[in-house]
Amino acid sequence: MSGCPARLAGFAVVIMGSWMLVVSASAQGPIAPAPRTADGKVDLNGVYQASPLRGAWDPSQPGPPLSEQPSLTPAARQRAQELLNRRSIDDPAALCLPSAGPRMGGVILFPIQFVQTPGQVVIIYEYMNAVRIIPTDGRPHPADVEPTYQGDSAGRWDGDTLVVDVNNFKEGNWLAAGIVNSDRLHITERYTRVDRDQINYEAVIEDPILLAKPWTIRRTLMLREGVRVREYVCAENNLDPGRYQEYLKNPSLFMRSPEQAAPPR
Amino acid sequence: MLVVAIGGAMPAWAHHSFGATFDANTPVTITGVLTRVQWTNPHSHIFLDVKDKDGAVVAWMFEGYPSVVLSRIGWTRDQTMKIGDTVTVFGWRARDHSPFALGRESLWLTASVCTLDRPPALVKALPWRQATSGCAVYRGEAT
Repeated sequence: MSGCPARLAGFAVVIMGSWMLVVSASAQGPIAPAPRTADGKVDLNGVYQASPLRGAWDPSQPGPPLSEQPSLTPAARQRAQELLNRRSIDDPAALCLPSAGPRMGGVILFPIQFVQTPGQVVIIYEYMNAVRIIPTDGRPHPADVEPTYQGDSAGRWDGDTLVVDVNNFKEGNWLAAGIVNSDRLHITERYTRVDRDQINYEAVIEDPILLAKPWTIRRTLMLREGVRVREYVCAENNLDPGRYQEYLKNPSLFMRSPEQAAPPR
Repeated sequence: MLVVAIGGAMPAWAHHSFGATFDANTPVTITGVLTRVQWTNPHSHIFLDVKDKDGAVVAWMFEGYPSVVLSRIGWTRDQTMKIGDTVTVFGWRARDHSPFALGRESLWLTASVCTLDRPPALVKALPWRQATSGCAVYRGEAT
């Protein structure tokens, strides 16, 4: 079986699936407005999935639309190429480590839940069983914070948009395949529930060591009624570390040859 | 024969790299008898006893969706697959050529595609279309 026709076939199915879901959503009547809390804020509470499509969870549907590609510094570009040539065997995610919000919220297999109370929003990611606690009462980042995988989040409301300033990240984590952040990573996230079914998500990613200019990621988080966040303990049966230890004894098993290597971005 | 498999679309940012372990140029379609299921995260695994051409039994392992995802898309632990079932799995073999592969088909998606009808190009791409009356789909973007 050649790869190319298979990929085309998969694409055709994705298109058909999208069309069916759009039709079924429009048949359900007008789109409801975003709900509000008692204190007048837009209510983010709910379970969502990174997806462009309204309606039920559907693993065959397409993922989030492609974002702008990052403009890497020359050193970061070279490093990304080296890591991709190693087929991302070094990705910390293979060790079950969490990472920054733009990555955590974009793994389309797993839902995320927003729990909003006055003065605070909590985001629960099924992926990696991770939690972010985001104060929205105006307090600044704590002075004694240590660098973490998900960074420190300080939120505020800008009209109907939750704006989250995130800093204090551990260096060396991955934002995407081969895209490794420094400890100067700074992310500004904006969550806007534009109607009952949809949150528009935007993350402006800044890192002068990694990026030649800010990198903006946009996607939609779609309400998934009836879906619950389940326990996902990545360390339960993670075979990757042992397997990779064996593979690394013979890198020719997995390394891209010069002919296979993708051109640097 | 029950035709079923585990796995599915690998998102661009998933738990681990497909390409570090599996070879997109080495698709395999394996039939064997189910001996064990690991209903676990970050991946499920199924184990098949497979007879090679000389009649010797080789124990194969296939990796698939995490159990949280299998549950969500309609798999039922100890019901969807039962020990002793004869199972055919399509996937990609590990780069070290051990009897290990990533299963990339799902029964759930099979049913879905049947509902939507099926583009001829899709059926043509299937290595096991005869066994499933065309109601399955190759998908996945090997990286």
